[in-house]
Amino acid sequence: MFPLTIEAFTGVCSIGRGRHQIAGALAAGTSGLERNTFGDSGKDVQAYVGRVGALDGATLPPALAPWDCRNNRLAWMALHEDGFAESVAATAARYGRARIGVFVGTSTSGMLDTEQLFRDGQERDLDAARFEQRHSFGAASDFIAAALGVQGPRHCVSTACSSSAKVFAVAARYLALDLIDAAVVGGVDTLCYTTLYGFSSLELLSAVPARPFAHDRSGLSIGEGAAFALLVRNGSGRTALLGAGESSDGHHMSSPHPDGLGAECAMRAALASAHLQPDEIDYINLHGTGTPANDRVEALAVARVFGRAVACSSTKGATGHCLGAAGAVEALICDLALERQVVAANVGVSGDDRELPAGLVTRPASAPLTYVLSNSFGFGGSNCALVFGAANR
Amino acid sequence: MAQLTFAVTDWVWCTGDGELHSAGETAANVDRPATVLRLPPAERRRLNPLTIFALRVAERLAASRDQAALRSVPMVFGSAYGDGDVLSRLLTALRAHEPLSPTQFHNSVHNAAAGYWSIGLASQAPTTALAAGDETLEVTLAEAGLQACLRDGPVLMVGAARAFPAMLQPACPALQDFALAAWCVPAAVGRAWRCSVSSGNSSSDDESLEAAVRAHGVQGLAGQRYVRRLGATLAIVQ
Repeated sequence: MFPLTIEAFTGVCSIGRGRHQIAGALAAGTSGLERNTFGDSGKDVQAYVGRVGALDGATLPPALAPWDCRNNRLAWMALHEDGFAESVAATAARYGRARIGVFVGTSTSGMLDTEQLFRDGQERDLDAARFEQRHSFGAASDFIAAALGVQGPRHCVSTACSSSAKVFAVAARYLALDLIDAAVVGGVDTLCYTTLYGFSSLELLSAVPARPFAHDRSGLSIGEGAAFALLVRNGSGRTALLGAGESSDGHHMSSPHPDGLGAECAMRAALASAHLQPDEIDYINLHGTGTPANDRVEALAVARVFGRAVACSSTKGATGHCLGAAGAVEALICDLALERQVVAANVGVSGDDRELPAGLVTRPASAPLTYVLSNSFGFGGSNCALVFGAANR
Repeated sequence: MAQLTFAVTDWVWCTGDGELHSAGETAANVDRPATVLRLPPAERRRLNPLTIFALRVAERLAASRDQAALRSVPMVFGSAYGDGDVLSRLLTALRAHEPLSPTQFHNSVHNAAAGYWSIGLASQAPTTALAAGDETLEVTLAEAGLQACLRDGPVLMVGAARAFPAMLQPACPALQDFALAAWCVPAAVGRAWRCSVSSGNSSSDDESLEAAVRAHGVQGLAGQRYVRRLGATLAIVQ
């Protein structure tokens, strides 16, 4: 099934639009988190968020107007960074539009559109077409296929915060059995009331910007983001998806397995599919949400698989937790790390207050990187780990 | 044209009347109660309606299987529009500026049924949750078939839809209650039914899924709005 060449990879999140801006922010160790003032939620949900400011004035072209909602606007914005849509068009010209799959991870989809109708007392405006094209879980893959003009198999994966990591595994399966020749994979998730109030109800939001792995960490900061990759079997891209591992915790809907058993299974499955040994991994982009339970359990699982010294960081102190888009955004961060040979920092934690992994990287650092791994874990105990590396190894 | 072929050995489905049906081995036992998942009573009480509906057909289908074997089987869940009951509760609270229920929030994830399935089995096998509007049933079957072929073993496919409550009717007016659980296996293993998924703009003479299920009397599927041929096509043939 692997490797799969990454022909193009781009994204948008609170720290930047496109590869150059995101890499620059990661190299500088800056954070995109700001105090929550989203809609009228600020007084009820005192938290920090990673917001894409440019979204507020963004629009879609008239032909795509029925799809107009915050989530699809963010997807549109990301598809047009770094010439991504042009790369897809060139690939479609080569293989045919029906041979390009679209697999998208999202947890929010465009539910904000419906939420806003109810909040404004305008729910009579809700109709089937509007719900289908904006709010429904499948709206994002339909919209992206329409925006890119591709016609292959498509669907959304919605497994909470592992959604957009798992789509890489879906694409690998479709490519392995020759049902498609290329896949657009990625994720898009946007701020909305359900996630802000929902994570608040679970007491998982930090009152200060999230500080994953800090000894006094107090929760996560929600972010929004989108990232998309174009995968093919044998392409000209310089990086590749080398492996993917999926697993379940089988433990609890909203708390991780206490020993990190599911996380460990996902990482070991990813290594096995990449034919790599744990000591060959040079860097791990951790799930690292900033909640006390997640970070403790993930550190246990990472230490069991990789030992204590492996270089690792969570980038959610910079981007916020992009939920259904986190897997794709962090896969993009891994791709940038390979391209630039720079490890992103665990923003928000200094050298002496980190509690957990011995190899936690607290300042951006140059390092020779051959193989990197990214973790994504979600509610329902849904786990996925991805391995990336140079395309010609 | 590339084609994926896999088999469906056994399936259980249910419509709004609550009566279970089976087209395969389970047919003889379809009316017997089945409890496969070990969920504490408090956990069972917290299940959302769509999850209850989905797990009912899944548990009936899986009841004849060994627990240890079930724990290693991947599960693929699909639902076009998720749980309208949970959604209406969340929207009602948000409209009133009231706090959300933590249970309703974690039950609102699309993978709630898949999560509870793995929790009830204490299983680390992969699960997933898909959506693709009208094509949800096709892509869910295709994903289960792909996984079955690549792991060379069985995969449990579960699809479920429930009509939305009155306040959300305009969002999904045509949605009807339907749940289906099916064992998908590599084609060489199966004997009862065979599925094939073709990519591209198919002009083959495969029966469409809708025509096939109508012909074979799977009343719960025929006429459902999410059964439609487009992009990837899927057919069930005998």
